[in-house]
Amino acid sequence: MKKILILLLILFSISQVFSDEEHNNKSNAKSKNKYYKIARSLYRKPFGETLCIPFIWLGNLTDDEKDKFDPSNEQEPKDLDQQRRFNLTNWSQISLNYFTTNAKHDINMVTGASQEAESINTKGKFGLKYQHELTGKISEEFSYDVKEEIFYSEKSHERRNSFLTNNLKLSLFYKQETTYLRLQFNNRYYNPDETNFLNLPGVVYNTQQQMTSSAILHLKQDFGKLSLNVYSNLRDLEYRYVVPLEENNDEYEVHQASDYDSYTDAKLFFKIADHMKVFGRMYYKDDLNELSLFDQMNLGGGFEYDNKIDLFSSIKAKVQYYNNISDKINNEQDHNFVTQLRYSRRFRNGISGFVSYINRSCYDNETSQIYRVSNMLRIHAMYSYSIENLNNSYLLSGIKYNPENEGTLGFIEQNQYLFKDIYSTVNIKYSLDLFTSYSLKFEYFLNSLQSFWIKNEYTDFYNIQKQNLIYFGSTFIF
Amino acid sequence: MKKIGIILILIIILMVYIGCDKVSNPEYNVDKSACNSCGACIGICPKDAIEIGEDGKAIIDQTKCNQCGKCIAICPEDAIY
Repeated sequence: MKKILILLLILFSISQVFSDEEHNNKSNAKSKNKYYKIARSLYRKPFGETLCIPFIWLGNLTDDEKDKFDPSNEQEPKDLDQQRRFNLTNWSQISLNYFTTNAKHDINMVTGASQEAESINTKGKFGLKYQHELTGKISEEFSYDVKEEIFYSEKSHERRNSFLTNNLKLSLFYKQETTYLRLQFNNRYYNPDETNFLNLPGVVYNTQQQMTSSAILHLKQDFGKLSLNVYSNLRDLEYRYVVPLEENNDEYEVHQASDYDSYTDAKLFFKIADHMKVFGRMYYKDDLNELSLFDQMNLGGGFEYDNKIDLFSSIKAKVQYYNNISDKINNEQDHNFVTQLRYSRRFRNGISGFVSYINRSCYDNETSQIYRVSNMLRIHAMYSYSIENLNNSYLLSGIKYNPENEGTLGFIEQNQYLFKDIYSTVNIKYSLDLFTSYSLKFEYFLNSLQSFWIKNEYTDFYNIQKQNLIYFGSTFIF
Repeated sequence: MKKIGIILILIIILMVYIGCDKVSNPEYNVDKSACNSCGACIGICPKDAIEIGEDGKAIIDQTKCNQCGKCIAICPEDAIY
């Protein structure tokens, strides 16, 4: 607790040092809104509502913004033209989560085994997340992107299998009028939770990933009406697994292993009319370690239709067939059909929404029957209204109908400006088969870039686990 | 013409839905229009069956997936179906 408070105080002090008068300059209101929205988006989207991320710090979003905080600029302004030529973008984010309540964990979600003795005590535990991204141009054609993400948790949360996760992405891009090439290296390192690894009751054989490395090549080439898209990923998974030495014995033997996979996805598009393309696709997954059991090949094609009817509405459709060749997948899923439809509409009075439908079906040669793989209907509607200048109050509701995979749910969320820069957010999500969650959050904005908040979230995973978590924290953007 | 095409597709889908059995092994996929590339599903997947694809959206390796459903519960955008 002391560590948290000290850290919060330090960060708050730093924020005050950097909180230049320019933040209060009304002439920068437009710019502030932009960063505010970027930050809100980052803080809501990448981590979602499921991982509590109360503390966010964003640094150096753009060169112009960085210059404002660079004292050397007062005497000797930098050559902005030179910076723009290299198009450098550099931003960082640090977040901290702190649990004030326990998350009781009665049954393991993977095995279903009773886990009363291992109930998770999250009270007083905290986690830290750091994210940094640097993008820049080497020349007109070449650019790069470096992205780093570190997640540390003092206590392994039941939705995480690791105390520490480090995700690194290095990308090099080549872009010309008709050519796009991306070379990328990804590394995801896990420092696994020993408790979850070894003490799963009833499990005699368990695996846990430790590190994943990927080398990616992505090429897009246009030839007029014809375009080619090739994606290739070579992935190495380092993992370990345990095997008990003897039956009914608590002693285990830990083994280390590697698993190499290669994924290739190639598509050839041909534009046959305005807004419409036909395509052929080949997807091949090669398990380089095992026999051909885990190999998979998809061959097929279809058409895409994408039309922005006017400024307020658009329609998209995609119909695809592919032949699935894999020993691991049942014969009844050899011939697959995917149909997607999406219609979105925006009105002048602040109401917007969309309807989306995806159907996946398959045909079995042996029984001459068509089977349903999955159906998903999604309807969202949003009403944005302005009480304050930032125009950030909204009411959002939606349903997702997915009977085959028990994914049917409905949700409603309201973000409301209350008074004196205080916002409230209410979210209710009800899933027919998986969970119900309620959350309430109050957030106080010191200015458009800095805020404090407190949140209460209650989740009931039916017959598995109930938890009520209270988080507190703050958001700082520079 | 467009409306007729859409209505025909919807009728076919409805007929398939009403008249067909469910496949014996469930299969999970990602609605790419809803996925926000957060990677939460990658971290939670016990089989390491999820990876980020060419467009930055999650893709599921069907040969590895054991249909545990943990990714459905964790996805903040409910993008897995």
